[in-house]
Amino acid sequence: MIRNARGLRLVLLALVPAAFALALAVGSVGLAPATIWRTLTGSEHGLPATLIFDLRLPRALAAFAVGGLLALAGALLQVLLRNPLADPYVLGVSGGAAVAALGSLLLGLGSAWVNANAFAGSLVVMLLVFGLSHGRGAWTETRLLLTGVVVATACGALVSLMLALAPQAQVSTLLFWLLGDLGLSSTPWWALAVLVAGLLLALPFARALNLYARGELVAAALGENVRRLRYGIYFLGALLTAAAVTLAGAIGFIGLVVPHLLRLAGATDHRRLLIDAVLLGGSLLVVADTLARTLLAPAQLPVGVLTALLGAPLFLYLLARAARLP
Amino acid sequence: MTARLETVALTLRAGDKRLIENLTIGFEAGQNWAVLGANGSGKTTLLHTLAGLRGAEAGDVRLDGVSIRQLSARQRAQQVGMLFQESPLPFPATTFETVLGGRHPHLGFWQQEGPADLEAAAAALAAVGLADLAERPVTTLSGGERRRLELASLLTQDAAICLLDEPVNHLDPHYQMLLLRRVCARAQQPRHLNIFVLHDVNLALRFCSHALLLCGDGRTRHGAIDAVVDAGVLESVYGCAMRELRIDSGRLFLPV
Repeated sequence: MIRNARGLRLVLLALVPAAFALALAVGSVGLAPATIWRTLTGSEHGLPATLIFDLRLPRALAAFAVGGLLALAGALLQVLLRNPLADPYVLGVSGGAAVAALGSLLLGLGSAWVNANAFAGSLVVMLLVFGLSHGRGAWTETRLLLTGVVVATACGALVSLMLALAPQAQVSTLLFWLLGDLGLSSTPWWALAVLVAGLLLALPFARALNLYARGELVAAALGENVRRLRYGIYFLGALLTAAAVTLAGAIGFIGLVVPHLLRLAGATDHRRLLIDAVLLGGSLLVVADTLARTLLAPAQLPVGVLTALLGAPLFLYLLARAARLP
Repeated sequence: MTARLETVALTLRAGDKRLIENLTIGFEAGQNWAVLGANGSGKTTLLHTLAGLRGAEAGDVRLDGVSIRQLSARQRAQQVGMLFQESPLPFPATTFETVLGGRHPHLGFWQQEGPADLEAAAAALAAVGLADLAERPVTTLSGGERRRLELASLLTQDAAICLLDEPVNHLDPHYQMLLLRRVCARAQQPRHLNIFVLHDVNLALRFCSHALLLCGDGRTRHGAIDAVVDAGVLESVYGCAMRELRIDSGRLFLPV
């Protein structure tokens, strides 16, 4: 399995530049690899430079950041809930962001406010779910899961209410936010920084995650302070999700499928899995976003729709296959 | 002199049910203890309390005279190992990775497993007869293989005090003998001791030096196993008739 995992890492390391090359090359004006290279190294100016530095590269970097954040958050929350089929949105964080963002859009606030409020909304839900799931009685992953699901459902209802009451002209703006979209112009350095910081924070705990995945008691018996670990995973997972949702709306399936795919491929040690998840999640979303803006050009698909359309059958296939595993 | 591991006026309850009342007992190095009792009499609760995984309703558990809840989880795990009755494995991992987890309490926060840790894990896998399955996903193991995997993880942890909750579950007679012998032999090392929760009185008589019997209503009896265990006591503990058979090597008890 170790040799297997090393091969997997090499594949992923090759996938990242390949995904970026595709994202830079494809679009309304195709760019040859040589042109891209000359532009990146600074010897080509004019239209290719505008296309790459002002449009395609920032967007690809945003996609990589969001994909990496979601996959990392998914891997963490799956361990926290001890459920390989959990996803980053199951705790309602994205619902909170959606309610706050749509509310801000309806009030006609600027995009900076929409983003800030989306982040604030997700933090409110994060704290709310945490507080409610630590009510009376013992903490269990079932209680946390149910609390998250119920809060997410309530947020969903609020979102539906706002959509129903919104003026016709605004509905499409709201929908685009909800479906997840990466049509941004500036490079989201802050999101990349959050991604790197999150990974660096999580990695020292990765060995403990291996034990926590086997149960809280097992982790405690092997010397882990499980309460500290649990709080750490919860808040880190929720913050990473909040960052992703703030940047791009609720893009589905990346956080669910990526860690699961990697586990099936043999990356079972979390010290590997967390890094691999960032590489694969980031690359997949770069590819998906490239498809989203080119498939029906000049129309742009929301990338969340594309990941869901591709992710759902893939996930169902994995699920069917998993049932056959001994 | 303080005992290696001791309970001081320990009281355990499950909800309103009294499991153990006011138990004071010293577990000394070199001893192998059997905890016997009916279903729901508090054997597992006692073991978890001894491991410091839960607090007591009253009284205290002390390791070398220090309250076990005052030690950090890591300090505890370096000295006390626990084999759980059941532990689910919801995520795929290889046998070797899982066993290697036993080294966790001995590794620093930033430390990676070194050659000595890998050797310890490989040796433990060999000791439980799983060396050939090191690279197998744990999800493909049988019940008995899984039990041996958990025992290998405990051996890898190399704690001086081992608490084992029904260690022979799912094991065939060959591995029951082999592994009980292996674990009991550890008690000969300085400062080592074992406490087993067992349902098989005859295995307890064969492998253990001392016994603690839980009556299920808070009362307990404990002492050298040959002194505390007889047909009458077992009948009151299990609530079923027991017959004592004398054989060359000692006594056997059969439910009738």
